[in-house]
Amino acid sequence: MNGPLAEYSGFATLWKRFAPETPFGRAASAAAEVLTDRAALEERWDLTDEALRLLDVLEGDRVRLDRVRHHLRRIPRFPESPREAFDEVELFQLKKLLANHRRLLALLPEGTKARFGLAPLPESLHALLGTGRDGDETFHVADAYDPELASVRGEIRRADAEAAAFRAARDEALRARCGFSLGDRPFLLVPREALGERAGVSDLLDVEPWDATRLCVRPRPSVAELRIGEEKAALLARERGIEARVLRALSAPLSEALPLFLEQAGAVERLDLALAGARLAREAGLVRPVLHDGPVRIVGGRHLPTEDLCAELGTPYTPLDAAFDGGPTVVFGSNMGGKTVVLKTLALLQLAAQSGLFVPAARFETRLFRRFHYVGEGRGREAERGLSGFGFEVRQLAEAHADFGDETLALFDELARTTSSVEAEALLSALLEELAARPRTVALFSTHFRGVKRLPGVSYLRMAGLDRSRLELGAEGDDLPARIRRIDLLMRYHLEPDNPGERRSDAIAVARLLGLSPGLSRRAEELLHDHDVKD
Amino acid sequence: MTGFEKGSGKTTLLGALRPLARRAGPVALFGIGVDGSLKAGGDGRAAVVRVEEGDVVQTTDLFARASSARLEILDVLPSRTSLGRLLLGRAVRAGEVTLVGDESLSALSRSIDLVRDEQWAASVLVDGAASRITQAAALDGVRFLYTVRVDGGNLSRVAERVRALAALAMLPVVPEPSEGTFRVEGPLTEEGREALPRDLGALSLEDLTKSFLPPRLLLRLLETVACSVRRGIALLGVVALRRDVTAEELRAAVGPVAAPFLLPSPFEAAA
Repeated sequence: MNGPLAEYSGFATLWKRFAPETPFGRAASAAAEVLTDRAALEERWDLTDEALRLLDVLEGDRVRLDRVRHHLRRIPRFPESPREAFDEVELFQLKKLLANHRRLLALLPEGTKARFGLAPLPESLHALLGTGRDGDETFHVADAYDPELASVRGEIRRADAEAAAFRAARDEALRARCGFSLGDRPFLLVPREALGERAGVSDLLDVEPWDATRLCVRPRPSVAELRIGEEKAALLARERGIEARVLRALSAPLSEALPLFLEQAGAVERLDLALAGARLAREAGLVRPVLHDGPVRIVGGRHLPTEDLCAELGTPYTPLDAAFDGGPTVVFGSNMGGKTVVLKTLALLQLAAQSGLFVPAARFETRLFRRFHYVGEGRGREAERGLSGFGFEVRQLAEAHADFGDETLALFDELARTTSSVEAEALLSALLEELAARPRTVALFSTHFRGVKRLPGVSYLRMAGLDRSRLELGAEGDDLPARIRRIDLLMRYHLEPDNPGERRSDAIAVARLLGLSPGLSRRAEELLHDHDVKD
Repeated sequence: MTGFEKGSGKTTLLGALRPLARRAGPVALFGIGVDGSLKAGGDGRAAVVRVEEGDVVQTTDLFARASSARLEILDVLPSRTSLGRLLLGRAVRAGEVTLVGDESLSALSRSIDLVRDEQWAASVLVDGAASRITQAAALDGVRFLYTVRVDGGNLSRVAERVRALAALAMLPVVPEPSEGTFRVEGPLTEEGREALPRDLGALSLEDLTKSFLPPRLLLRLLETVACSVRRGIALLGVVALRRDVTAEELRAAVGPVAAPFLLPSPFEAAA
């Protein structure tokens, strides 16, 4: 995943909403792989369609749908390679997977199971791991696995009972002699006078001074108790040995069945990712992209962060309609005219599509790109400290340039805006010349520099800009949000062809709408007019 | 359970309270992080607790195997410690288990939520980290106990800390402070205190764990400024293990306002 492009385009925010439930799905989500294999991508979208159909089927049965999610969430990771002896944790994981996998399958229609490759795991394994236990999502080596284990544990319980009886007897004796008992406490602070003659309790307590008035007493185990303790230690060691034997016996059939577990984990992951994609498609109104070899075509493309911002500001949002053929496209437009949002929308849709998601658009036809580049503001500059803004851009440009000619999507947001306009136009023109001959790379340039060369093989578009016929309409309020709202209402955020020689600039009008003094903006308009006349 | 410093008897107190908590049903026992003595390769007795059948405990697979109790595994947590994989186990045989917790409070909170959701226990006891009052804010519906060791040498210092703690615990809870109240977001540090307006009339803290002021400075601030918290966290009390300090001397040192927070120690026999 191209991190800077993901952040710039708002894709990172969309990706955070993609929420698989299983550890396998979450790992895939964390890896955020961009798919470049057409068949793999079509398969992901097919499965998302299948998951959408499943959501439709379960729409009227919310409980069932919740249970599907519940069991997906409970599926754990498990060991992926066979062992001579799995430990208890690993057997617990396999058992929990078995239980939730079985319940999940019971909730899904046959067609869905077949499509995702979900099939039952051997019933014998349920019985194997469920021996001696009622709960099918917990595990320990139960007595029922081995008669010798049951016998040793019986001995341990007997030893525990005997030790408890000794403790109770000591407490009884203490109460009788001293008026207090220890219970479960490892020590007790008692007034010095409470013990009387220390020798009188030396068979029951270890005594040491605590402070000037009190003593600290701890239980003193009798010889018989110590013997019980030793006996118990030996029994515990035997218990561990038998448990290890049981674990080895359980591991053989499970190791043999491990390929089935792995296969089913893969099927669960596919279902999980598809359901997460389908839920997101429902929530965000996403549609399946279309892969082809023709131009990139966007109908009703929505840049979700901008759409949200517009909703917050109470202004209408204009979805994007655009087509980008192979080769470069230059997008001109006034400040606040939406050039950057065009670039961001394309990036968002393309990254979503190649991440296996559906996309926020009425229709999105595109092709596969193997390389993604973004050159512009917002990229982290930590590693590049010491460079000027222009220097930093050039570094990014050099990276992108290496991939020109490949199947590359490259976005240039106001490249070279910090250098002289003459040199910037020369640089842009040189780039356009090179890219015009490389139709496998789709490149978009947003720029204010209208002096770039007009070249065959390059598309020139512009944002429609301010609707000047409505400029003099009254405004509601003059605080900043009101001014931004007014600009949004007057601005036409659609693309139209840009012809050489046509001059249209909204910068001064936008400045006036933002509160620049009328006198200053009028004078700027006059100077601009003089300049145009001279040209 | 938390304490002013290491070795103040948190785990021992937890062990003493567990039988009382069990009267309401199975108990879940948690620690925070790995006990220092375990990290140092010691025997880790400091972190050992007894569990009865049905109790739930957080430990690692290695300690579960070495335990005299037998645990059935209820859940395996995603994080790993140097001492093995963290798990939640339910005792199928009583015995002693070493508590090992996640270092992250949010992970602890998730585990406690799981215990609640699955109804594995009626109550949860957490052997908290020492000197980190902030942990109390990370857990929903938490009440906390402080353990202290007090002797003739540290009596006045401990008393001052108890007074400050009690003063914080008694602050009124005002979720929406009135206009004009200075709202402190995040911790109130000494530097933050210096930066407060001179004519400050009222101050609102997020909760009592957000005061990072030394006790004396805090008590002085509370004398001059009406302070409230936006979220209440209940202090159950302070359990002191006294050496050469009588209960009366301790009560006198902490003063009449904080004294009601002093709880009798379960390790002291009545005189």
